[in-house]
Amino acid sequence: MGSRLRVLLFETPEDPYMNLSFEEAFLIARERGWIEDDVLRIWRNANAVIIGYFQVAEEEVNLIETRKIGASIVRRFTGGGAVYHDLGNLNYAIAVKRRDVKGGVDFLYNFLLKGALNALRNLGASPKLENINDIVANDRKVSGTAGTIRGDTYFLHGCLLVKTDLAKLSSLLRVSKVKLIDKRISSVKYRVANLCDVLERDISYKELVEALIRGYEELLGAEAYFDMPSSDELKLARALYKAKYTTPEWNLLRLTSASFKIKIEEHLAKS
Amino acid sequence: MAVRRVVCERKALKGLIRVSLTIVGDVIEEAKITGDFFLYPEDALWLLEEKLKGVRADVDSIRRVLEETFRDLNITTAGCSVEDFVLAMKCALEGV
Repeated sequence: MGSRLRVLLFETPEDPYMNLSFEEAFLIARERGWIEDDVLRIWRNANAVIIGYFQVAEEEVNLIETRKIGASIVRRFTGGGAVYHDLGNLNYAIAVKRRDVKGGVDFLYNFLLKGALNALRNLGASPKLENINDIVANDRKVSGTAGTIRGDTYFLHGCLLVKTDLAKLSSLLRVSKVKLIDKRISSVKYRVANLCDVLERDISYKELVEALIRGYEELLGAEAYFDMPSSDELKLARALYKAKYTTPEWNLLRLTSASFKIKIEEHLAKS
Repeated sequence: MAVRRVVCERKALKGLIRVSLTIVGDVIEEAKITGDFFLYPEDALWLLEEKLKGVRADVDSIRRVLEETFRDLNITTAGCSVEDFVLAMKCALEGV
């Protein structure tokens, strides 16, 4: 062992905009070295559709249905597809700083993702990695992941379907015709399942958190400890919240992150 | 001059690439690439779109610009390739 893994259970389920703001804030904090240890965050949203960085909401999301159930639409800073978050879904995010990594993207999906695979194994499932970065159990996708690289910091987050309302999920997310024709993909990507159904038992939040922590401790050879967000992280999260994540420009148009930079700096300077 | 707006979706091994092009005469005026693909560094996508502006709307010219930009910006992908982007553009232009 030797190295330590900082675990954050900080979450704002009723405010998905803050959840996504904090997600970027703790990555930046780790990248800039404000935080000394690698970080694992585990969190939930109560009712939100999260779209990928390159997506346009109206193309991916059933907007009428979304409005009807009062779900927020929030863009994340990583690529990949739209997902639905309710309290039956658990999100995990890992940020590690490494100077000696070769093959960056490979490190995200062939290394960092293994912590989540360990976690599912710890819970009694037989998870497999499929289709680059999907986690499949019993031939059903239970977790989708997306990652990014900022300088020497590698970041991966994923959502784990535990007991999500799958009917709601499929009514909210639009699937393109091209995808439906493509059997290779639809067979995995759109056949999702809840972990509770795969394991045929209830799983508590505590059990999931412990499994994820252990999964990443094993992968990184690190010892976990619980922590709270630092005041700098929260300050940055609030600036991101005001200048980026609560704006329709970020969530509904498809603008580059760079175009929010000045406003974020302004908010930071004011706070 | 004739203005055309063409759109096409292409499914890569992983990820859907949706291309929409505004073509004035035989030149691309605007290119927009959306979807659930993975491309790194992410912000290179907007530079790709920028590079496509003013390019002749034929597959060879587009391929040249895309391949060059991927190389110059050190773009990497997961589950798709530069060829998927080229073919999405081709499909938008030619309907196949």
